[in-house]
Amino acid sequence: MNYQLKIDDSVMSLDVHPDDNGAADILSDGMETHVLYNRVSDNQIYMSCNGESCNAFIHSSNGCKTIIIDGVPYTVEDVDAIRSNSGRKKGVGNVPREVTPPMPSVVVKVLIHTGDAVTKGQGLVVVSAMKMETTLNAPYDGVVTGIHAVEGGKVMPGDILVDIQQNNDTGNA
Amino acid sequence: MCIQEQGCIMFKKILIANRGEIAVRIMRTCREMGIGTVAVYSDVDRGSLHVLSADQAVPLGDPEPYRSYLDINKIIKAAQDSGAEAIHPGYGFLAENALFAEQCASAGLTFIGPPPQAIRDLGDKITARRIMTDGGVPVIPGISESIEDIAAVTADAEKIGYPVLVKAAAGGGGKGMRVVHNPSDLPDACASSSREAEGAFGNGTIFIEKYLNPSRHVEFQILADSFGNVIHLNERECSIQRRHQKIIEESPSPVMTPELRKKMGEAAVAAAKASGYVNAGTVEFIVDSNSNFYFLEVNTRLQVEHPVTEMTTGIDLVRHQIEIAAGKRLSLSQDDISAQGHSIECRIYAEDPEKGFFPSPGTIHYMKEPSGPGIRNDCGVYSGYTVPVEYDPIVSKLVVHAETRGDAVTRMIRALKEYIILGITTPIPFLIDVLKSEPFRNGETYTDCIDTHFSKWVMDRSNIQAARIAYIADELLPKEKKAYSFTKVMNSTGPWQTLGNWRI
Repeated sequence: MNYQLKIDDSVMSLDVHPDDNGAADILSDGMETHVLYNRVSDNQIYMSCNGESCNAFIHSSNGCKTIIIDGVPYTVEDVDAIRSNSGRKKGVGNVPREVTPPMPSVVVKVLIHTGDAVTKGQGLVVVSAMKMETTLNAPYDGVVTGIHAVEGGKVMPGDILVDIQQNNDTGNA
Repeated sequence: MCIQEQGCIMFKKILIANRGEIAVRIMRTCREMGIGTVAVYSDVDRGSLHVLSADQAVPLGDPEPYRSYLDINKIIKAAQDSGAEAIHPGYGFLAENALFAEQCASAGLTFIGPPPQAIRDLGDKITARRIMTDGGVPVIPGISESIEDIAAVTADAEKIGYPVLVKAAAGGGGKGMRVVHNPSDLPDACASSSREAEGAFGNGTIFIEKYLNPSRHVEFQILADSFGNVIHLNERECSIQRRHQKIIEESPSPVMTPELRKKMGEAAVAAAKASGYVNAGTVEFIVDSNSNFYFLEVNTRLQVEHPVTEMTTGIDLVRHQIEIAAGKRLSLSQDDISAQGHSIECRIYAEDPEKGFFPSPGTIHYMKEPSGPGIRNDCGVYSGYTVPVEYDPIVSKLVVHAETRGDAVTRMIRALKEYIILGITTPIPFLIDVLKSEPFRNGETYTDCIDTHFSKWVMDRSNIQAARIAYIADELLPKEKKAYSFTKVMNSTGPWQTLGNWRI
């Protein structure tokens, strides 16, 4: 079988030939790895790759796995699974273009009014999470067409707090 | 509760007016002393570890700090209703609130901390600056006045010279602190600093000091009883900070010499005596590159980083806090204090080191704590626990103790690699890289260390192929726990093969 695995921006193709006894030969990038693997718990796998031992700690959510090896976490996605799920996934590249809190927060202050002209980088809304204040800035020059934040209100990542009609652009904000 | 040491009666029950790891840590000492413990908790903390660890738990309702952990009336009523005789405030929340200490006394409860007047004087950093100046303790160049209007502060900042540091007069933990390099940034910095201070401490008063750079942050632990005895328990170096919040602390400080320790220790004791201090406290200093030291502030509470002192001196600071509060005379003299080896603490926050240390609350799906020689983990969470958004994102404090600084560094790296937390993002890989770095190993621990050497930090991805293979193994293996068979693996690796790095 073949896996196309994506970590950060790198995609690697791996050909996997498992046997029935918890071992597999894995071919990728012209290299062959003989792997023995055992599940220790739902979240831990003990592997031996070409004779070198390694413990991997794994949590799966939303089609990707967070895997910690030697203290470092990797977010691993199956490209085929991403493709089949692409309809419900948000494009990561769009996030900085939206005025949305990076984490669950409370609105501290709304700095603008509907109809205000704003310039890229201008502070729009101050939110506070875990006692740390963050200012959400305008992603581009434009005019504020809607505000969906009230001071003291709780907001979640993905909530669009401010609609901005981009200058010289009829596109969406 | 008594004044005399003779016939001093120990408390039977203490309420811990805090949450998370520090509440758990205080309860442990209470239990060792045979003292009953009462936890308090807000609605989002029903399943928090401090609730599970206490003998009794009293609900506070609304998670908003002002209506729960900062609500003096609710806390005092909880103590009275549960029959507690004393309140330990931990750090943060009401720990440095003089009004709270006063109201405890009025309600017939013992506040485990310094007298209200000492909290008031020292808790206001502006007043503290004046006391120390009068007491001959060197202070950082700055203005011992609160900022009232922007025009005046702009003039003051010109006088001191940029960069300046805008600081909250109340509180601590770096909240409300802003470094200002350009005069044009000063008004915004003051406004946002004041607002953050108001939100965190209920007091928006701010002032400015010269921003000293490069400098080290070195603090002295003190213990004072109500009979006028004051001792210090050596220093902690807390220079490794992000957003002005400490993330790695150690004792002893790499910069310390016996002569400097003597001078600074004496200044710390003098500072405590000048302010009429009783109980455990910390005198913070800034040490410049020529080993000149300046008084920064006194923290009138148990510090987050107190474990490194406990590890090197072998002294349980919480036990001494409780004994002092119960009216006991200090059982230790300055000559009894001798430190052994080296201790390092790493703060494990729910935060993302690759995204400016932004908080990363959420559910911990799996957790495995490190263990072995010289390891202590003061932890406030567990597998299945959801880190709430309402409070500080500290998850635990990992502390190691070893013979030398070098040994402590490698032990900490080993422990960090053993520490598995899945579900939330933590700075563990970042901390590993800081500990491995040349500047840290050389003891070049200045407060700008993280900004100077790690602002462009990216995670080391050297095990990327193993991560891919683990993904596949996880897909191929059924998801229920089954007996773990060594035989298969051992056939190919030999019985003495240790677990370790894997490279292709």
